[in-house]
Amino acid sequence: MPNLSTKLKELNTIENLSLGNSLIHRLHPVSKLVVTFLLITAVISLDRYVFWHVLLYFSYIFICASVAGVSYSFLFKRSVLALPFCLFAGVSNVIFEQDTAFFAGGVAVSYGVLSFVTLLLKTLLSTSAVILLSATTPMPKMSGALIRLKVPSVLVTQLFMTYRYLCIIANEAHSMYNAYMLRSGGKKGISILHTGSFLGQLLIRSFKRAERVVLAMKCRGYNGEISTEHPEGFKTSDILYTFTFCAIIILLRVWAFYVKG
Amino acid sequence: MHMADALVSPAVGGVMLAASAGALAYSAKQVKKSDLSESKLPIMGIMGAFIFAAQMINFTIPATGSSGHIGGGMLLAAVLGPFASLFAIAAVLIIQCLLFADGGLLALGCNIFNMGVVPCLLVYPLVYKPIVKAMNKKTITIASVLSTVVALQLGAFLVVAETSASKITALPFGTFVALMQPIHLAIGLVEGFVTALVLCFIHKARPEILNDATSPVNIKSVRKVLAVLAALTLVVGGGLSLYASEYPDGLEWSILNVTGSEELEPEGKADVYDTFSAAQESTAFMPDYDYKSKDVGSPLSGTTVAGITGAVIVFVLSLFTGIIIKKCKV
Repeated sequence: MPNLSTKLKELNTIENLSLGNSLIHRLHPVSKLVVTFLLITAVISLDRYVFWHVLLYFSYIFICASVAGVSYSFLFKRSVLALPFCLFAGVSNVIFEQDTAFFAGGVAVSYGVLSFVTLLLKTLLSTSAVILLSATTPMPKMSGALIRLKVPSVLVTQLFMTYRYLCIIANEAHSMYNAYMLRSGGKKGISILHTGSFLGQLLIRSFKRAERVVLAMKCRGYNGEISTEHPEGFKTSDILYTFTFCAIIILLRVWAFYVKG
Repeated sequence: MHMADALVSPAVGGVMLAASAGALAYSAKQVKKSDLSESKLPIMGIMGAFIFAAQMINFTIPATGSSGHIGGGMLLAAVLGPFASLFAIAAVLIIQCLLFADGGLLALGCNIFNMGVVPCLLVYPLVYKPIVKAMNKKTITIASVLSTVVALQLGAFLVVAETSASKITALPFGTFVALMQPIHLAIGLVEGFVTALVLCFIHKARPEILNDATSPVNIKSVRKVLAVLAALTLVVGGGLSLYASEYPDGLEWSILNVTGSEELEPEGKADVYDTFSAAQESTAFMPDYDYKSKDVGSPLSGTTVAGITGAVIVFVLSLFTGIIIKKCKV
């Protein structure tokens, strides 16, 4: 099944990338989370028409992706997923905002086109930043960072278990799908009338597996708390990275504010 | 329906993050309170993984030549109950955001609210649960279709509201709504039908999974607490209020020292102030906690009557609110 196997491949790729050993990989997950959050906040707070300011922030993506060994094409191919709805919102801007902003070599560029391009770039940038974060931070380390940020343990446990069992349940679904298709007599997909029993079987199997897992965990001393990987303390490189990039992001944002004013 | 970061402003994103965080914190308390919280946590995690896999399974929609997949919010709520399912959905959305770039980081609050809080904490107790009081194929089908349609309509409307409030698109609000709602109505009908099929299958094969979805809160001890609070309120409002200090409170004292009078008068144009103070004067039946007219020949002082009346009004209002909550409670 294209969707399921594609998603499993994507998950595999990100997991392999996150196990790298570059400077960015060795940074503290909280530092990377803070910088990513600040970067996205700064970018989406920019005005609707200032695409050149958005372009400046791409330098963070290019520098960190190069250092981490993540290819630009991988980043942008993944970012394309977020585009459809933004394109729809952006195209409506082109239709509704037709006043001319400026002339570029004899061609009138409307405010609508400016806001469309800005929206597109903002989407690409914010999505790339998140993909870069997950491509340089393994999920167990991310869970440890969330605990450090005082996120409730119920949610962190939930994240941990979901991530752990994602592949197992997805592979089970894949086997069930293959078995269905081999018996379907050349059909193109699962018939809607069969979806009830298909998903129902998968749900019951997942539920029963979950009950067995709980018993197995209790036999091994599970008491309601799952221990996740606790990150080490902050190093000088983490503090330097956080302060440098936060300062650059804030300065660029303040400059954009004054230039507009 | 996953919103990207570029579709929300920091203000809207921040507010929705706070709202979702509040809902998750409240749900965490409810999950911890239930007796099975230890066993429930791993089950919630694995059901989250199930929903993730289920979202990747496409089925063909007859007569359209297209295919679709379920969202799973209502399905999960029917199986796990409202609070546990919210966690499962939130975990799935966070993983989709981080690992698959499906939905933005800042827009996580919006996504968790639209696709988690709305179906699990709003639609499930108000629409699904009352219909399936008697669990059979018919009630499950009606409840699934209706609740999925309502959840998707509300979710789609919230997406439009959040995008419009962020001033991202020049599309007029009405046009945006008119474009989004019918599409999601069609999606909701299909998903509701599929959810009904799945739940009917489970009801036939393993009914105990659907029956264990919720646990009621013990209200016997709450009645005792209410009685004590009511008695205390009457004593304080009726009796102790007579000994209330006549000195200015902290704010009035500060204003007195700065400006020379205990209350501030508006400067310049005060149209808004005049409108609202006129409205307040007409509705206040006991201004300044005393009788409106000074000729009332009652042995009880105005403050005592104001205290008791206020307490009774608050009691009645909160009782009605509690009855409404109880009627809507899971």
